[in-house]
Amino acid sequence: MNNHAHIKFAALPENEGFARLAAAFVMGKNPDLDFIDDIKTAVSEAVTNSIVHGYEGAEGVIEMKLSSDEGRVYIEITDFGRGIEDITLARTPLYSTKPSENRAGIGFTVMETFTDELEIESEPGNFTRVIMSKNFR
Amino acid sequence: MKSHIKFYKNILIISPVGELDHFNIEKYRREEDIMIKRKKPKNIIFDLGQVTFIDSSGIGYILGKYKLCMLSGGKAALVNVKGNTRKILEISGLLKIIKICPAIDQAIYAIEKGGL
Repeated sequence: MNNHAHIKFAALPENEGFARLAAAFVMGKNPDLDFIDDIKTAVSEAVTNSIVHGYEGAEGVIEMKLSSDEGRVYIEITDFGRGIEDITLARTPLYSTKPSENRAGIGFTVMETFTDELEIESEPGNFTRVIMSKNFR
Repeated sequence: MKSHIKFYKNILIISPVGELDHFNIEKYRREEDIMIKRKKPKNIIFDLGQVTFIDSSGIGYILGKYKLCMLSGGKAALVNVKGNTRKILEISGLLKIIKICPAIDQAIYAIEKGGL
């Protein structure tokens, strides 16, 4: 059966683990452990980005839509924070707006590598939405 | 995440336990960095055997510690790297600058004999 969830949660670092678990839960028992690890990592990157860059530690809400069917897992993570001015630059490996905080600058690279499709939508000052999907193999 | 820091001669051995994500790292980073700056270890070994999850925040954490120690021209090694942690270490390019050793004693040996 298809499973889906639509979750809103506070943009707090302690919720990063919750978001990873929720994503793993929606996938059900189909995928193997490597697949689940990949999804958990990709979700962790997106949620951490929202907290660190979207809201920059300030209060905010993160919306997460998760669904899965026989073929794939679909994930949509949205924050209503500062947005991204230049998405191409943000996706560049090792680029970080916060290098002094020991951010590796590879969040989007990891999302790209660990899923099959990654799309980023953003409006500066309004929102950032990351859409990812990964096919069961 | 619990972080265990040990010093062996001039080697810092850091063995995080649990999930190496942004939330857990922020809790320990400051305290650990103060200790590193005070003790000034020359070399560093990251024991990832008890890490159950790692994302790019974990990579940033390792890089940050690496930079703190490398200021004195030391060596670094990763040990007990498991399957699910290896993938992100590879993607990040971290394995190009820090070599993997099978276990802590081998890493200590390699550091002392200049084999890294």
